[in-house]
Amino acid sequence: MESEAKVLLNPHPLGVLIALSFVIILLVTIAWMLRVPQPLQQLAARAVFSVEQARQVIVPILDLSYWRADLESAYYTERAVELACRLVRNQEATIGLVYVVEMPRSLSLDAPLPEVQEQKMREALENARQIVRRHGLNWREEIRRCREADQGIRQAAQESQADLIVLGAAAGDRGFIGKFARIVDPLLRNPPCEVLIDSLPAPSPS
Amino acid sequence: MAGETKVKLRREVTPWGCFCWGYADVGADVYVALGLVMAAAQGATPLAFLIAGIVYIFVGLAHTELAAAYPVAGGGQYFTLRGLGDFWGLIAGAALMLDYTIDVALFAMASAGYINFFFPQIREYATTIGPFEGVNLIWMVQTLGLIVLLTFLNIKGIRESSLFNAILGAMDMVLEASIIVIGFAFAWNPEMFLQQWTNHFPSTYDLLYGVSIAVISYVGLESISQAAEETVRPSAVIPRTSLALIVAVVLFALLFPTLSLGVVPVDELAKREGDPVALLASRLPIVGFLAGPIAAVLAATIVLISANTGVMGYSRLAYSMSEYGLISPWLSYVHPKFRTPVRSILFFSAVAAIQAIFAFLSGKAMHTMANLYAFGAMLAYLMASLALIALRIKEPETPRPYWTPLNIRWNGRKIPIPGLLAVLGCTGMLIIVLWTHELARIFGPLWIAAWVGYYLWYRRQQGKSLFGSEVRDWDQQHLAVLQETGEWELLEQFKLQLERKSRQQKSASIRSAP
Repeated sequence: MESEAKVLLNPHPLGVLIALSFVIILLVTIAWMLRVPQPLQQLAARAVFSVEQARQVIVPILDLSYWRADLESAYYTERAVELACRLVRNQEATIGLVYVVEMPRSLSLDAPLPEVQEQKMREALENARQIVRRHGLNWREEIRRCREADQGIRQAAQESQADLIVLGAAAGDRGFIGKFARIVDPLLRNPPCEVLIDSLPAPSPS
Repeated sequence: MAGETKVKLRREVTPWGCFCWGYADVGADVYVALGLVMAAAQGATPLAFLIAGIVYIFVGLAHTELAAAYPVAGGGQYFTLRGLGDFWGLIAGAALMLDYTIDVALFAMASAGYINFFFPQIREYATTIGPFEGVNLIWMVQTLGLIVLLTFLNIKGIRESSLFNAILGAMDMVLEASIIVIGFAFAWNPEMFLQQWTNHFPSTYDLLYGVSIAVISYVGLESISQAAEETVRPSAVIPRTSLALIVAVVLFALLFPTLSLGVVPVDELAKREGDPVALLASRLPIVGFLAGPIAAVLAATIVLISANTGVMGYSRLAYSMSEYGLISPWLSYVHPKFRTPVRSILFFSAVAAIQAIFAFLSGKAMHTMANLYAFGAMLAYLMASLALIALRIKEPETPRPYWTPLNIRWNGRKIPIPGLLAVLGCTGMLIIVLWTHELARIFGPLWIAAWVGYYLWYRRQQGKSLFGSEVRDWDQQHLAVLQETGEWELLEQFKLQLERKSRQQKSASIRSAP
């Protein structure tokens, strides 16, 4: 027994500081340990992780110039790129920027594009690239010429084993909606993977 | 076995219970290691604990990831088996088995020794048995009695023994924390600490010897891995308990020697290898007059729960090894009523009892066992750290609730830098242990060789590959484990990963077709 040892109260500021730090660290650690997060039920877990699993995302940039030359497609496709990036930015996904050119049957698939259209393509891809780069995600680019845009998108999705297609749609232009529906309908009827349509509301009259 | 219904271990270990499995081991190790390390590393004892602690942090992170991702019994042995194959799994299992059986023998002995603090006549008793002189037969019987008690508790079921651990673990943590708080707040003298650090700095050899003993303070994480198959919601609970244990263990392991050097002269501490914490506690103000009895009771309980953790560890380890065909399936039998691996508990408790008897007969029990303990721990940790890297490469699709931080990309895989450092650290520690410990140099490899000999004989009997691995459907097994644990988040992640893998394989086969 050591009880006879003479003991004096001898507090030192550094010792008190160490004792306090020790207590705080220990208590905070144990409190954190005991606060176990609530588990998800199976269906909720499937929903959460099926979204989280998306690694290959395709954003088709539709070039329908041959169909209707005055159609401005930039804004809603760029918005679709932004949306896709936000959806997958925490999961190391790759964004596939697929420029889909619908070629008329009167031309061969590899016919040269008019300079205006080439310029439009370069600009559209550059804008999309900027958006993806801003999110720090990986991307790849592809120019796909096809007779029907839905077929081009489907092939691109299958070849890259895409998990998700994010397709932007403009609203308010009745002609475009009709054409767009013709592209989307087969994709939704027989989707190669998950398909997300981002349709903007019609602009207000003002 | 034919005709026997396969009964699984039940999941009843709570977060606090899981933490206490680990803390029970570590808390007791500090009691034993502090004096031994102090005797070797003297003024540099905190440094010895710090060096060992750094390696422990790396190993701890590896174990946290593995135990959370693979919540099954077996711990380091299972990870090694899965990552490196059957033969290396056997080596890891043998190393862990050495640690667990020694843990039970050594700590049951120490617990009885601390109880005898109140019975000096028993402590001083000695007799002669044949060629062995000075044998304390009563102490030996007490030790064997404690081993029998722990065996019974563990056969009865994890709930009882986990509750036992949880209550005693909480008590001991409060008492150990009180010693540190009162000591630092009212008695610690930084000038004395610096003076002892400077004047009693050891030689490099002694420091390394101290480091190699200090590593025995850090074995608790393996217990958490062993309890994984019985832990409620392991994917959420294990990362938290493991990381909390790393913090708690490093705090206690660094602060005890720091406090000691600022309160008690190092020469006095070095002479008290058996009860350094009792000496330290007796020098504290306010509680010092009660320190002897309190420290004795505290030590007796915590070393007993450490021994209990050892019983739990080897029984689950043997269960896992026999499940995977490394040792006889006879040992994997789970009692239909208690749902505990009754045969493995009985068999390895007998091994621990034999080790305890030999230790009593040898006369140098503490040193012999500390040597072998360090050897087993470092070998097992080395294997588990290698397994972490191997599994990151082989099974990238396995969902991991916790990722070891700081990764580098290699061939599309994430390689954890702490895992690489753990491999380097454990290799270095193993070299130090073999260099500085004469007994570990001989008996450690002999123990492993005996296991390898049995393994080769058993595999030959079974007509299985001696050095190759059996083909196992790890994916299906993993799905079953996740289903059984109700780990829906991991289950769904894993299913989705498998679907992706299958899609990729299908697509690759289509592309490669002529």
